[in-house]
Amino acid sequence: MAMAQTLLRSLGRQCLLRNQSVFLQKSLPSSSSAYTEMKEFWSKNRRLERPLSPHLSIYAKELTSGLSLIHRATGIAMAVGVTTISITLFALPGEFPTYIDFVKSLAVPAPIIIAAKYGLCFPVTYHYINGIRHLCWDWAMGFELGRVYKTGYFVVSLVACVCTGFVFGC
Amino acid sequence: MATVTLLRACSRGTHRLLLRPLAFSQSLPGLVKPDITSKTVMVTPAMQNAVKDYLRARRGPFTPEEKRGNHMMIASTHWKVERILAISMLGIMPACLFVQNPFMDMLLCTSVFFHYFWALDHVLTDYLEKFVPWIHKFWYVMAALGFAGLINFNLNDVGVTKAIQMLWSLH
Ligand code: HEM
Repeated sequence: MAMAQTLLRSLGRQCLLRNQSVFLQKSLPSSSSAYTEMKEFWSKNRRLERPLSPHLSIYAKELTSGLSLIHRATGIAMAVGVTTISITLFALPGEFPTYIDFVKSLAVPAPIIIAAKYGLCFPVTYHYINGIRHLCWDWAMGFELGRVYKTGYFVVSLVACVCTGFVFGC
Repeated sequence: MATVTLLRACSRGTHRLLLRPLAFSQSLPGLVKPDITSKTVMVTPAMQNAVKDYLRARRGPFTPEEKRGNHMMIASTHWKVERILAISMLGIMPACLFVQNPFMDMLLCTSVFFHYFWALDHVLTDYLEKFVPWIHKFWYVMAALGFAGLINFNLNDVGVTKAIQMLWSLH
């Protein structure tokens, strides 16, 4: 019995379940000094009518923030795109091969097909490859500014190659 | 079906461990469901005339309770689940280039869906929640419809992986 208790306690303290609220005895305090500080900061911001941070109209354009922005933009575009297409196909009566045959019957010129394939391929390829970079950062790898730039240029070149490979190769 | 089983297994396995126990939520009455709409919006003098000012950060700071929100997991656990999912997608997506079958359809749809479902929800929290408090509910409805569409496409049409292959064979 005593052993089981000790085991349970050590589980709760150090192991997997450490952060689970099951083991929280008291409710958390409803305000903290950090919160009070933030509140003062906010009221100061309001009093001085400070603009949002970063101040976009004067903020320098950098490769690093640009790539992060594109990651977010491609993610949002794919999420909205997948949802829209899925709901549309759900609502339409036809089957997918019919639409493919319809597009084939239009005899779309090759340059337009190639452009469309780049348009479809870029968000996926970019988000996939840059996603690996984001995941590395999540494990605190590659944070030195020089490396952030190096991996940034590497991602851009790799995406260009892979995307072109998909459009023309496969 | 595979998806449903997967979902059911997930909710069974993690609920007990991760669901906030009842006793805990009862000890925090009013904190578990922060009502965003009922909070007063602070109006600065500059806000009264310009559209630009509408886009200023108007509501804040968020209290610790508001930040915690009403969730099944604590945020750090949720964050880890999302990363594990993203890492597994690194394998699943290329695998679909080589194998196209109903199992891959469901695997791809489920993993990608949950990734973008949570991720876009966070984006909404970043940009829109403070202006449009009901935006999350709207996203849940649209996302659920989209997911139903994906599952229906896999069951009653050619399936996602085959469809991508057919689309790509156009030239
Ligand atoms: C294997 C492929 C993928 C990986 C490794 C991946 C990885 C990631 C990561 C790490 C983030 C968080 C970025 C951050 O920390 O700020 C993210 C965000 C996001 N992803 Fe993905 N992703 C992948 C595929 C997809 C797909 C296919 C979609 C949509 C259909 C998608 C939609 C999103 C969205 C909407 C966001 C939120 C944007 C943001 O927070 O910046 N992702 N992805």
